[in-house]
Amino acid sequence: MIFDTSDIQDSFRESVERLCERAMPATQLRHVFDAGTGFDAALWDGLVDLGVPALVVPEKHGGLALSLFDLALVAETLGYHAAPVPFLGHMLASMAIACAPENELQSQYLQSFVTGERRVSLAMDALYCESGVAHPATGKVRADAVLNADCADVLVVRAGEGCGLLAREHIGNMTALNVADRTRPLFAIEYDLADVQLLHIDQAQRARLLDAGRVLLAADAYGGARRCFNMSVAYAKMREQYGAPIGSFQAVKHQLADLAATIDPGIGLYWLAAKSYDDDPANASRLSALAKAHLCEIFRLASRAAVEAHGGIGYTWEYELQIWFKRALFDFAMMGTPGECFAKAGPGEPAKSERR
Amino acid sequence: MDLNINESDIGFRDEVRAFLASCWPKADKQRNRSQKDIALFRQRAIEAGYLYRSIPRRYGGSEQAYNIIRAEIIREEFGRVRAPMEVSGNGTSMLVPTLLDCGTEWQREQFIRPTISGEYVWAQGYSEPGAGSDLAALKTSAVLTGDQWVINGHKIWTTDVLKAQFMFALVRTEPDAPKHKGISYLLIDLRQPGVTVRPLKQLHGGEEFGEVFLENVKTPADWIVGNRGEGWSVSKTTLKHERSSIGNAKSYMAMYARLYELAAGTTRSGLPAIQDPVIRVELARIEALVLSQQYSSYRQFSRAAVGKDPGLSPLLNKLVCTGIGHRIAALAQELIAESGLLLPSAQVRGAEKWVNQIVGSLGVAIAGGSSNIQRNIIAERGLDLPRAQGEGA
Repeated sequence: MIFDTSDIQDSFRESVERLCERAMPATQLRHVFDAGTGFDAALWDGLVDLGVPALVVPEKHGGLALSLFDLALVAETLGYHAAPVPFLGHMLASMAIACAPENELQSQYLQSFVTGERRVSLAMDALYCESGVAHPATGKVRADAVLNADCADVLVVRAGEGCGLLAREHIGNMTALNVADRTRPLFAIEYDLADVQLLHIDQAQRARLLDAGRVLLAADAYGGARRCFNMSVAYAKMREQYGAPIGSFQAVKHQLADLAATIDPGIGLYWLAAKSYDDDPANASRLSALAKAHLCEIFRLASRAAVEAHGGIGYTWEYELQIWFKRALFDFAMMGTPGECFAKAGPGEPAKSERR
Repeated sequence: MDLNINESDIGFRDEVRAFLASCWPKADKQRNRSQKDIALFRQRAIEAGYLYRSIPRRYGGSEQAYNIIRAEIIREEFGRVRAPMEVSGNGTSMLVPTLLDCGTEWQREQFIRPTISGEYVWAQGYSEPGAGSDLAALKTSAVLTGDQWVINGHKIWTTDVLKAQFMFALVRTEPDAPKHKGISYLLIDLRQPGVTVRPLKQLHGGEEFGEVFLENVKTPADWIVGNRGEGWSVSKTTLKHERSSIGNAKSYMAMYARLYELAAGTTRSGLPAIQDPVIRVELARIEALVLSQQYSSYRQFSRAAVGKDPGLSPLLNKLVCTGIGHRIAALAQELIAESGLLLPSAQVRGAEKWVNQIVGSLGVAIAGGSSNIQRNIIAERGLDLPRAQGEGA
């Protein structure tokens, strides 16, 4: 095998890249961030036109049936641009519906998620099968963290020991949380379990969705960390003190070189985790936790280092670096912190051939 | 991971396996093979096109088209059955590529064949007491007197000098030229009066390098590689080669595997260390670093093989691997506990053998361009940050 992207993957990624550059210049990103909606309709429509929501949906429902690796490459690009779109929730919810045993909900909904006619999102507790927290099977319940609930037509929510679909009209009492990352807003909702249409997916399938989510966060974190780094390098060339660009001082050079050495190889691990999700399911759970832990820790470091490298301007709300700083907070905390994920993954037992 | 790009690479891997099955049968124990057997095997491997692929046949190589995927397949397959690879050392990794790039026809004919067979061992005469990271400040002088260079000076940290018959050295031949323009690259026979070699004992007690005092040492006028005053750029070819070999991520996966086994075999507070949550998390963190670098290297390989830009990654390899080595050393030191009171010896091979890695990881950080020099190179060549006066790489 060859460990690289194909020409088709490269050109698809470039299309997403160009769309983000066009639709999401810094002024527009700051505008969406401050408006607090966390959703840029033009960018989302552009992604729909490119076929992003179709990537991991089966062909019979109008999708492209590609791999998680393809989706992760998009996640990296969206992370690089801090794209305020309901990508994570829409994709994971689509995958949740698609992985269920054949049922009418799939033909009812999946096609409309691909065409952009409907948007879907996800209550995070629908994935947390490991939490051990009991969930009632009937009555009114609450979901504390629902991604982009305000712009979704339908949600995947937890129901007892399983999960199901909740249409928008059945969402009761939606409260926007005071989120740090306003590009990926979260909501608390109330709903009645009687209104949930059950998806018959088991714990193993939910665990696998969580693996996919961790890979997508790792990819996002890699893109975000690269952006923090690139902004810091550009700033070091432009900002002058003591009559010279600060990037000519060895202390700054060495910080940036160390940051490059910290971030750059991370691509290997997130690609490995994505490819193992597609081709090597036995190792996917470990590797997705390991990649999530490692890349989100790197993003945390990179965003903090970037604020320091920028000095005072980096500590302001008005300069857009703060948006990546907050995305790093999101990636760190979502779906298990690095510490939790490293503990979950544990050290991999080396193959015999490696014991030289 | 098997790096096959297409059917022809898979076929190539099968060819290599068939060659090894017939020329390096598993049944024989390696220790029973004589130096003569090994030399014969290498000769066959050269004839088959598996070793010294970038060296023309007229100098003893196998003259194969540049193909890093095939080179990697050969390394993987030879490594799997522990068949002998190319002779290691400064000669094959540094001098030979330099001669191929910058040497004269006579020099190539004279030196390449005996070097790759292991007959000639070369010392690398670069650093001096006053010229380490600032290598271009070197003072060892060579003056052309008739048809000979007469050399005086003092080289230090000279790798392999205790077993070498020859040295390739950077010396100052143009004392009036600017710093970098006054240096030439000379080949020197060390077996002559005026050469005094003193071993340097390292932190862990080993003696892999030494210092050399040169007092009116002679070398023929045509033993200069490249022109007078061009030694600095001539030497760049060799440094590049050394870096790519040090940055070999695979050896770090092997080191992780040994570290895992150390944790599995160590008792800590009455339990196997591999069950200690603190140790487990640190091992997982190290594994994440090692896998990142290993697969980033595969990506670099894959891209280079089809002529795509690998980006910043190749410049980072040494600094990244040095960082991993430090992390492994720290956990190993924790795991070996009181065995860290000892130095390894030839007779006793307990957990204290890890002291070689704990110390050696520092050697890696310094050799072939120290980490701070690497950071300058990354910043200036990789990130295009402006140079400041008086520093640089």
